[in-house]
Amino acid sequence: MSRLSILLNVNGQEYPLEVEPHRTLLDVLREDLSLTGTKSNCQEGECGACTVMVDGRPVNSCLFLAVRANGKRITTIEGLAGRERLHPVQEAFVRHGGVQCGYCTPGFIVSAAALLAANPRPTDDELARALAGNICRCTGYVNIRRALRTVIEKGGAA
Amino acid sequence: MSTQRVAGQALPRLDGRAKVTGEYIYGMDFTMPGMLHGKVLRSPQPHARIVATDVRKASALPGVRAILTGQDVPALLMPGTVWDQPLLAYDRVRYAGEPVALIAADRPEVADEAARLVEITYEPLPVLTDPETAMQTGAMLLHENWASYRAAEGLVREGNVCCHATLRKGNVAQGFAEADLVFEDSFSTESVHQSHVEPRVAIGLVDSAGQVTVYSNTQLPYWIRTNVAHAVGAPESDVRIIPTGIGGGFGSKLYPQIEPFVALLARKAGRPVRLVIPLEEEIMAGLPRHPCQLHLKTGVKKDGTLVAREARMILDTGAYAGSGPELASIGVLVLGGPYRTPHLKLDAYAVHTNKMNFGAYRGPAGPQAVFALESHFDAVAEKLGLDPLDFRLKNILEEGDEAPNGQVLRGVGLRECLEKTAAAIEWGKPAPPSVREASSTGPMRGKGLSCGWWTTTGGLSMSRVRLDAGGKVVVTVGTQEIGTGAIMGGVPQVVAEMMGVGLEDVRLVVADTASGLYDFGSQGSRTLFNVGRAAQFACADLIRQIKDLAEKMLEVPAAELELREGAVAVKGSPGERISLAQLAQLDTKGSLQGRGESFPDPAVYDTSRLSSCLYPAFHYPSFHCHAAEVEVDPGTGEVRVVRYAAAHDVGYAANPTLAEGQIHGGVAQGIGMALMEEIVYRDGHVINNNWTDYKLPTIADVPDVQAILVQHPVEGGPFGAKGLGESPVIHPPAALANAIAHATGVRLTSLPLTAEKILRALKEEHG
Amino acid sequence: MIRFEYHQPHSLDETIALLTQYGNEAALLAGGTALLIDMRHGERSPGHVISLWEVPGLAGFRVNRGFHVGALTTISDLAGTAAGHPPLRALVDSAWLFGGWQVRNMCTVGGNICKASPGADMVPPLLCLDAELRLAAPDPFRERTAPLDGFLTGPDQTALRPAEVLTEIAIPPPPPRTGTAFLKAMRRHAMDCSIAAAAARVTLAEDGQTCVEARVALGAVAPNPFRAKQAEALLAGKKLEPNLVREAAHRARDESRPISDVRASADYRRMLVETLAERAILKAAERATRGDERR
Repeated sequence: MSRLSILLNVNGQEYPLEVEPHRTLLDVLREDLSLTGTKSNCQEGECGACTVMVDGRPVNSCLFLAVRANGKRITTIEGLAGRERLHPVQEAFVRHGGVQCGYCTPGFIVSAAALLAANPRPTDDELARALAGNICRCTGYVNIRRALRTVIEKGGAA
Repeated sequence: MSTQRVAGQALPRLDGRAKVTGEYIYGMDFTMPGMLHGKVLRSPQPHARIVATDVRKASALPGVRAILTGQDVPALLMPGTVWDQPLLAYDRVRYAGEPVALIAADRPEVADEAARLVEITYEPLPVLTDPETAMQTGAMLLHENWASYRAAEGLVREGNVCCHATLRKGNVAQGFAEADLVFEDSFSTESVHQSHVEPRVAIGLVDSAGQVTVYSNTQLPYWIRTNVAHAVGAPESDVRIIPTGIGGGFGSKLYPQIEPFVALLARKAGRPVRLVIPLEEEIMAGLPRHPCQLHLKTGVKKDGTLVAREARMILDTGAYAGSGPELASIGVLVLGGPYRTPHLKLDAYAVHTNKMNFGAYRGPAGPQAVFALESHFDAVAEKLGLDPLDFRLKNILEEGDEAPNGQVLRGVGLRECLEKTAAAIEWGKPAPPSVREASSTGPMRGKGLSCGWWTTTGGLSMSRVRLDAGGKVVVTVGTQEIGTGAIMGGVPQVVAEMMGVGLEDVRLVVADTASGLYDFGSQGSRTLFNVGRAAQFACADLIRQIKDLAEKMLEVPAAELELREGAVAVKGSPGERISLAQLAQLDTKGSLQGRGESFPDPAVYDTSRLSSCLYPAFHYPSFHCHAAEVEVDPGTGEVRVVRYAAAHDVGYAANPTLAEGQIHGGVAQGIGMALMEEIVYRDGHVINNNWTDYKLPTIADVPDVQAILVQHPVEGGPFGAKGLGESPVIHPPAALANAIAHATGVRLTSLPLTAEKILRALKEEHG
Repeated sequence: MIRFEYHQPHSLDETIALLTQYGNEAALLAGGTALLIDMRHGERSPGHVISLWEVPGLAGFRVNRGFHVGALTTISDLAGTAAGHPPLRALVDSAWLFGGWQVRNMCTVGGNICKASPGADMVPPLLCLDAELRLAAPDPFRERTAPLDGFLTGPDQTALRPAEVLTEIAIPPPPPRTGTAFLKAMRRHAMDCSIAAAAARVTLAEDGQTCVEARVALGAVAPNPFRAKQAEALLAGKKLEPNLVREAAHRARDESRPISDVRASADYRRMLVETLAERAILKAAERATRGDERR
């Protein structure tokens, strides 16, 4: 089984890797790069726990071949916090009860950060449309919406 | 709301930051050097004899390190309320998905491939899928040896019925005779899965001395230890269960589904073994909610006063008893309800079928029984021409009243919950358009409510609290945070409050079973109550020691000392104090350590009224009311939940944000059960074991639930707290069924209330 | 075990050559969502996966005597670019209801067509717009055009010839006063395949009331999405009175051949067709009336 040489740009850092073509971006991130912040669950693109950004757009990394990510700009949860401060969405989730078990949280935060980067003032409908691909089983989404609304109202700060 | 410094405040939880950055380590993130990958081979047959097993081809596959079948492990029956389930099926399988072989290999794909190569010959047996058929005399027995099984004392069981729980009060025949009117309704509810976003996973290691260690994302490490020890034939002291971070449990992760397996495989292979249960196996062979059939009969006076109630609840408990017996007992209490009813005859049966073991899912037996009771009561109210809210208010129990099982109720905030919920949903306005006048294209709107009571499970919790360097307060507990915030929010806040420190000066440590800090687990709405209570006792113990030490140093009697602002100080005097940091420095041997245990007295009830009830009373009960407003699309039957209010009497909210979060989340799960979730069986096989066809509520399906915290404290829990984790899930099916009935004029009696069922009912009713 | 050789051709010719070489052993990688799931379930096991992502010119949206949608255009990109063109509203409606945002960023219009699921959501709106497919093929055929209507030949089956690649979906310029709409019924309010779907196109005459031409296309209620031509015929040349629209919806229901499965029963799907077809036609007519206004 031949491996392919790829260069993954993850959170601004470049990683040269040799991967078998059938491996998903999710598995390569978690197993080869030890970036376990991105979570694994349904393996069928239904839960969003595996969400990462590829060139700023959220995708289900469980259905995205690693070889296809060659040369693309990947952003995972680990890439969102700044040196000194958390990303506003991260801070808001902590402050407003957006986190309970937290397993869906990285995927949610990546999707939300991508949304706000593309559209800083989404309506409730646009919020729902952007986040329907992220399943949470703990919060009922209420405090997630509340947290995001505070970020939107403050124009990007939590 | 709270006048306290820390407890009662909406402070961020201790694990919040690690979870939003992706740093928090869950069971799924754990790896061990040299670990192998496990796989469970499962029976494709719902009921069959195992005739022959051949693992030669599988064993020969390169990379396979261990294979075990029922022939290779002792023919043990595992502990439980009824000891009826084998460790690994050896001569017979009773559900499609039952484990028949275990494999460990170098890579997951190799383990999968090996599973395909294991050859097992099955001789199919007749398949029994209907519980009512299973209950009949002469029905095929799923457990011919049922009578020989070890079982909990007092359990009434026979044949395929592994528990028949009853509650008797008064004389229902007399009651029905006295009633002005008698009404009957039947209901059915589906199985729904806990659907935790993190899969079930464990890593087992067995060293050369036979010491077993299992890392598991379990909600109940000590029960896992008991089962692993039993499976490997070792004393419990040789087994160590280390709980990892948990990505949701909701009852599913209480059970030892995989830990005995990883221990056995690790011992055979001589290397650590990791086993993950993928989603498609979890949905078809997990422990989801019991499907139920319920039949209710109620006798009332014309003015709505309840006189008598007869109820029959059949819980399909699947192939093995599991939690069935206990849940039958809980069902009985829910059917009794927080209502004044002079005559009661309640029967609940846990019945075997050739389906997976149904198990404890948040509020087990609750939503099924509440759906039936509260829908039935709405139907009765409607026929009497009474407002459903007034009907409840007329019949609900109040402070000091006796519950159906004879226990006396304290801290009864039910009326307040009903009134506040009704106000929040604007009950009674506007009057809906008459169904006959409703346009065929405009949406139909309606409101519905549901109310009830629930338990705060007891059981033992132990805790230690000590002063660490720098005066930090370290709390150690024996059960893990599953997401509710009880362990990483409520408990530390209670401790900070008692110790006079800020939350930032509290550290929470979850100890594994080697510590011996026994805990009955993160379950049953018990966690904050019991772990918090144990921590409080530990704090009290530590405070006494601190004051004794400070008394000597300050030369002031201990009775005049208090803990505040991170120090021991003299009451009313600003000057004399010793900081906890200073005290910690003095205590070089670390002997300043408090111990606490919570084992609350069970509620006192009338034992003569109950039979075979393993869960005979709702301890420190909570009270709640939910109301929903829906819009029903008359062209498609689709339901939109427009508004939802939920009031919960929690006694005391240690952290209002976390408490509200439990309500929001429970309502969302309840909406799922009410409208869209269902494990679909066909001839003993689950046909929708994936999230494409098992639909969970998305952000678009749940409105901004208004959570209303009502506080009628009870002595016992931390600052008067009662349990909260489960009760929010028990009401949405009833509240939504009632709202849909109000909106459309049709009453649906089977869950889930899908758009298809609604549209069909509308067409039948209105043409 | 999932194992395959991965190829990244840089031109259409190279792609076609690989398809020719590997025949039945080859699968094209577009969005990859269906392919990966099928491979995991053992339903497909191609020895060679050929990625289309390095082939230039397959993605994009052009306006030039009609609209040209590159086959590799993602659903989200389509939603964005088609939004500026009112007659294409049905495409935008469908794109926004397609899965979740992650899936929309991965899946492609061409992939949705070629996978040919009974519920392929992009197909009903494209049928209403009389879409044509541009297909690149090996010599001597080079390229051909085929109408989308008739191209899908059964569940997961298309009239793609060996080594042929769908490159573009061409939409002829819609006549003036054309409105389109797409509706789908799901089991929850987002993130679901269609239980039943209906797209409609209404082109009005200058009087703004007479329907010159109509299209009604249904999804998830037959082996492939299809045009309900009897329903369409009923509407052509008539004023769209409510009773007429309702009757057209009845016809559409009768033209459907839904199955019962774990998602819904055939009966319910027929009921849905009636509701959705009626609503789609009315909405398309309303949009046709409003012309260039966005609604």
